Amino acid sequence: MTAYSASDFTTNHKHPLLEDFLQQNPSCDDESAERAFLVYQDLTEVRNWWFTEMAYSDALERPYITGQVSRRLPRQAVLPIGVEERISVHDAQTFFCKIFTSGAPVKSLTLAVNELDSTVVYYKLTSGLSPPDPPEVTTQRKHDKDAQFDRKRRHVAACVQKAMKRTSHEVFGHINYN
Amino acid sequence: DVQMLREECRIVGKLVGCLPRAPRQNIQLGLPLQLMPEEAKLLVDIGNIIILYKQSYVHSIKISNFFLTLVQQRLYKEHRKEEVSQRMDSIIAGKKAKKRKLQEELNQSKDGAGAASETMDAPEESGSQGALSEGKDGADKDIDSLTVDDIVTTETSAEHSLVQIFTQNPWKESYVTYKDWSYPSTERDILRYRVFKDLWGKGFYLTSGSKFGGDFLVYPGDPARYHSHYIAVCRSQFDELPCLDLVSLGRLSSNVRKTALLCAMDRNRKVTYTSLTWTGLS
Repeated sequence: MTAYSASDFTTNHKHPLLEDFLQQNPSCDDESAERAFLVYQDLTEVRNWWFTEMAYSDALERPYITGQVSRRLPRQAVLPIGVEERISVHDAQTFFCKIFTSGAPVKSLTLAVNELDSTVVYYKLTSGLSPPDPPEVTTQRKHDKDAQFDRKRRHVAACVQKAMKRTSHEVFGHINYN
Repeated sequence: DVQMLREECRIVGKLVGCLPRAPRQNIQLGLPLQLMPEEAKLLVDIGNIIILYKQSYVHSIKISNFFLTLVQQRLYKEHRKEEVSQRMDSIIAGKKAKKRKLQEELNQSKDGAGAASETMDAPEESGSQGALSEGKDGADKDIDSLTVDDIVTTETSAEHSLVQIFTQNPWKESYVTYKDWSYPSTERDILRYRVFKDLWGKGFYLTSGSKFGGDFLVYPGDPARYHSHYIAVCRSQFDELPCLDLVSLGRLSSNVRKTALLCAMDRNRKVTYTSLTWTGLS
């Protein structure tokens, strides 16, 4: 009987993409890379962003993510920030200088405040004065979202019905045969 | 004046008084208008107002009351003297009558005593009677020579004098221009004032932002007609905000359909703004 220690059972496997990223940017530390990777996963798997990539900013010494919400919309930058970190206004201004999408520094970026348990909150940081959306735009957006959700629900319901019909047909067919 | 400030100078301020026709409510307040220190400083800078300092002589009220009592005492004394001089004759007559009565009583008692020892005390009696009669005449003369001043001798005490209760502001007030206003003096005040001035210069209306936990509320037009667009939060450039504060600020502002505006001043005294809004991602 061999003795097993706890460390034998803990494996430190990283996602291959994350490992690639770390290899490409050796100066990036593991924790911030992990955090960035959580945000990356959220964007790609949950929100289905288009052509999302992880990048590293040497000047800021932190990773960030670039991507598009959908094929048509322009590219955006997302900067993951840990919940315990502290940001000053000066820092925020440097973000705008040092982070690039498609070769040009960004004017507005999405700040992804996240915890290591993968809770993420997104806020939009813009340099300068950016007025809030007028109420019409917000209601329109809500309406669109509701419509989209409704469509999805109906589609799923239709699929379920079809599946039910198919299975019942098979069952009945079987019985009749008997 | 308040209207002029609002329309021409884009300074709103806050009404803190009560309306004269509807005093017992605080839904709608009236004059006076209270200005934020930033507003006042801005108005001084653009030359529309001057700061006045009210100098009031508070100690004069005690002096004036003291003089009032003296005057009253004097007047009262004069009044009494007048009364007494009018009735002088009756007073003198009364005093004489009183004295005569006293003397008669004395004589009666003396006569009673004298009857017992007539022979021996006769010369004494006559002498004393003579003395008495003389005394009587002398007293009468004295009484005749009584003047008003002899009667009215005491002063009425200050306790009995009237005190005036004022129905209007009794202090002598004068307005002096206040030259030593040292606002803004702290770093934070300086930053706030710079931000205020800058945003005002861009054509916004600004009011106090304490309702939403910020420094100012920024309106694109008159606050009576528009909702505010920004909650301005002034922070010094290198002051570090925890991320949770950013999240709470963002959450609050998105819930009330405003943008949080982080304002800071860089080394060249230029104000930089960073807006925090809600992304579409839920």
